[in-house]
Amino acid sequence: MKTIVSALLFCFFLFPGLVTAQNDYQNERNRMVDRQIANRGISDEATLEAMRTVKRHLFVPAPRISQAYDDSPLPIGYGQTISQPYIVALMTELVEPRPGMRVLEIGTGSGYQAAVLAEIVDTVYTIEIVEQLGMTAAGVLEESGYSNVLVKLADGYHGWEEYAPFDAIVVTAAAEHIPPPLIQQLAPGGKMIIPVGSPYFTQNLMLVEKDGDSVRSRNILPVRFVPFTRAGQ
Amino acid sequence: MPGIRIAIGLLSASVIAWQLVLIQILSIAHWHHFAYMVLSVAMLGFGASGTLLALFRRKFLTGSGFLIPFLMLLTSLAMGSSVYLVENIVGGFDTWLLFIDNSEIVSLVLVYLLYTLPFLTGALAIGLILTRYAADIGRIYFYNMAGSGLGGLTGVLAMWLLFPEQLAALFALLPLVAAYFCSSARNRKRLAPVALLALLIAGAGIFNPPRINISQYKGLSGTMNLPGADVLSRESSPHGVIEAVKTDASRYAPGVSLNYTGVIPVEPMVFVNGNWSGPVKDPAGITDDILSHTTKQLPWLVRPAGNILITSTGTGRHAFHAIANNANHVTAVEPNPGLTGLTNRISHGFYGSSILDHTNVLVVHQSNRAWLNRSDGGYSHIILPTLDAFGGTSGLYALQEQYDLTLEAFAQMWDLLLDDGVISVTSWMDQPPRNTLRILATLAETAERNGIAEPERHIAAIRSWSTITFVLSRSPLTGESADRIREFCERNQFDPALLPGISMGERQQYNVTESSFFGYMDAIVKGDRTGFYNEYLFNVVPATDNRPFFSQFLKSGNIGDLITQYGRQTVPFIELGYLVLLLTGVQIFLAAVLFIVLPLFRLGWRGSKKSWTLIYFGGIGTGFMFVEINLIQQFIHYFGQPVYATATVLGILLISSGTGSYFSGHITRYRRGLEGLLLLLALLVGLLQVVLPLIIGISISMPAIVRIAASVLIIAPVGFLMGMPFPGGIRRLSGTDSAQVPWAWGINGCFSVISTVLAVWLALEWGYSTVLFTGALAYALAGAATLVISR
Repeated sequence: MKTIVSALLFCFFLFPGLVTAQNDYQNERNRMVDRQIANRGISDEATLEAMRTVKRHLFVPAPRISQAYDDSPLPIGYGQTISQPYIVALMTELVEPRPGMRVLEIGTGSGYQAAVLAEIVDTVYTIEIVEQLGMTAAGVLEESGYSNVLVKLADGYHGWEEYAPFDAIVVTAAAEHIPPPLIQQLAPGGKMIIPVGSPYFTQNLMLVEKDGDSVRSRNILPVRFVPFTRAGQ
Repeated sequence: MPGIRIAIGLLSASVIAWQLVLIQILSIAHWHHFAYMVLSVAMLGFGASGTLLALFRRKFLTGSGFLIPFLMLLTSLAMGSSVYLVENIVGGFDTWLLFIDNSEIVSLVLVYLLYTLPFLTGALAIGLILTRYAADIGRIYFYNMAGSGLGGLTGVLAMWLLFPEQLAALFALLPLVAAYFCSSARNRKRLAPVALLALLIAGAGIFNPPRINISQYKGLSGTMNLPGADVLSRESSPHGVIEAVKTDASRYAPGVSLNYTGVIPVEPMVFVNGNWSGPVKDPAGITDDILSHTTKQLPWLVRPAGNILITSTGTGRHAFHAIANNANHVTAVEPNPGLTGLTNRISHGFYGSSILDHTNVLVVHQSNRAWLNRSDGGYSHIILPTLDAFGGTSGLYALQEQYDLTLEAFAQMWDLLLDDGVISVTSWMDQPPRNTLRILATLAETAERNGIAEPERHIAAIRSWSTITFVLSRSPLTGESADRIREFCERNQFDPALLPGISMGERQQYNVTESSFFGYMDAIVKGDRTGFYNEYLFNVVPATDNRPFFSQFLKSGNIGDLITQYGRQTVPFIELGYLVLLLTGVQIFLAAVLFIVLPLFRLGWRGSKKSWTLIYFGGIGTGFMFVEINLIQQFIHYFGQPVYATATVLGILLISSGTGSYFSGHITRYRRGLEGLLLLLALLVGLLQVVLPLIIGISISMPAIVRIAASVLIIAPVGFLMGMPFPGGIRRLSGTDSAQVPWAWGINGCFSVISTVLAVWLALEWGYSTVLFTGALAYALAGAATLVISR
């Protein structure tokens, strides 16, 4: 008995990664959702469940797997990042994803945001302009069984006319302008979400809502970002 | 003997030229803030060499015939290979990842050490020559200093001919030639293999230079990832490396209206040192300029176009917009002639014509402030470049002097306007608001300083989902212009943010943001502005010529509050430049102690009046570097370009202080010579504070040759005196307490190294006047210590 316990302890201390890998990081994911996401006010059950389900560690570069569930964005190369879990959850909640919806994503990046959306909606159409990133993400999404995610290597400016209109558009690779074709491909009543900020400092999210001919934007600050004056001016 | 003089001249030239090249290389790979790292790297090399020389003086002198050329060859090898080793072996480092990935810190340290090597070996050779040929010190000093001055000039001129990565190898040839001149026939034979290796490495670097790893977060890197990316042209100049890139997907339409349904055209883009500079526009598209569907249309709604002044024209984007709005005449000021030249060539190649060749456009190659100084005015509109970048830059430009955005610059612009003229500037909306509030504060204070009691009647602002454009009008805004602005906003689904008589409902019709933002704006324009400055978490007080860091917003006392709000991991990305400076400071301090001071403990610190040695040599080290850094920073305003400023200041300061060192023997002959010298120096440095802005103000728009002459007049007298205290102090120690000489070297080196970063930090926090005042104080302290302790 002593020998077995010692062997188990030996395995635990020497190969903590192995032990964690065997449970597929489920504990880390649960902790991430409880502490970083639900705790900050994300309450949409579908979003929380998707965040618990999608294996984030599969979408980060191998050397950073141990940081996959940290409360921060991580570099994935080509000047891109995989967003902080809380920002991914907030963007997902803000587009109010539901079964039956078709969502367009501009900027596949790691593929993680597409996977989270794919857990909830019918189909995710995702476009990546950087070939190497798109290929890698497509491979991970396919291996992870996300057959309802379609990846296209193209310039996101033009959107994906063929499958338009979309109930929601998530622009993860924000540009300094919102391409007119994307506004046109957004269904009436549809929502578009755009994170705005430098690579490691998402300062705010821009929610664009289309109502007939009128297109309005709303600046949404992540919970922790206010107030800016001591007196709370 | 003549050989050694030529050798030291060539070596000194190479060290200064290489230093300038290194500043360019780091500016391309990273951002401006690493320029100060280069200065400290050089100082560390010099400081450590002094310590080594003090420790092993006898051994070094015994073998100096061989050692001097050998060290020169090592310098050549280090200069020729370090850029290659940094870029290809270490892989550089990325500023953005310094706070994400610990391995980046290791890379930064390795880069730091690799770049220190050429300075260490070069300084060791120079020090050894000065020690060995002390009898001929006058001539040796002359060649040393003349070489340094010529090195600065050559370094700048060569940047017009070759790229910095090639120049790093080209200047490695100078120590190689120097080694030849100072070797005996026997040593030439012995050193031939090393010389051959150095020649091969330098040759490889010139003809097959290493590729500089540009940060993946720089605009150029992102653009090169786009499909069809192709570099159309790449040119080098002291203003930086300019690249024009064509892709299948690069477009420019900052914050274009959300109901714009037209096509946003794909255009070639131009970059300077990897930073986005602007698009190259097709003049045929002038009839429907896309900027007319952005907030940038605001100034043209306030009043019709007349004579227009565009500052920092770049690729001519704002000139294009002005012509599209029927401008009679556009004066397009651009300090970088290469930028407009390349834009013209690319535009002609692509479209057959160029907006910069338009009959109504006059391109002026001068710094913006120089033009503001010499212009006769009469402008209906002055248009400034867009502030910040989309999504923010995380404070990477915090250390960059922006003399075009100071209160003094705006005062000059105000004077050049017609009675109903306007100044306009657009900023990206930032969260938390910083650029937007500081520019508004600058406009409001400019109006007030010009006798406007109600700035809110003179300032208008409109906002899209991502940009905000401000206008400051010399005359009160009219009801008609307010109507035009409201109608334009309605049509494009923008929101007015500031207009006479505006309601809160109007401000949030199409683009809803935190209502507190409008509270901040109102506090600045018509409320308790000073109270707001004090209460706000960030520093949004307008920049001044004394503190021209427009992009520095961090209040260091509020770091704790920021960590509470944003989290420890996020805070570094609020003001990356400032934190990198602090990180560099810590590294420099550790390196200075490790490589300069600790080795001296081998000798032990014996002798009397140790406190004098510490205060005196620490004081003059600090004083020298504070004056040098201050002069470089202020001369960036004078010459409009960091490399010109660094070359001029270093060249004149080195030659004059070298001459001062040569004559320092005369001073120490007098009983109170040193004390008097130091107190005089403190007084002169203090006077610089008054004289420098005056001379800069009078001569900034004069030809370069006049400005260089004025620079000599300003710097040389102070530099001459600054060169005396060190040899004077050493002489005094040699006579009474020679065991302390190595410590004097070490202390001086250590304080000099740390002062490079400390001076920049002081300028950021309290302004240049404080830096000069502290420099003067350091000299005065050294003088007082001499008066009191060293009797």
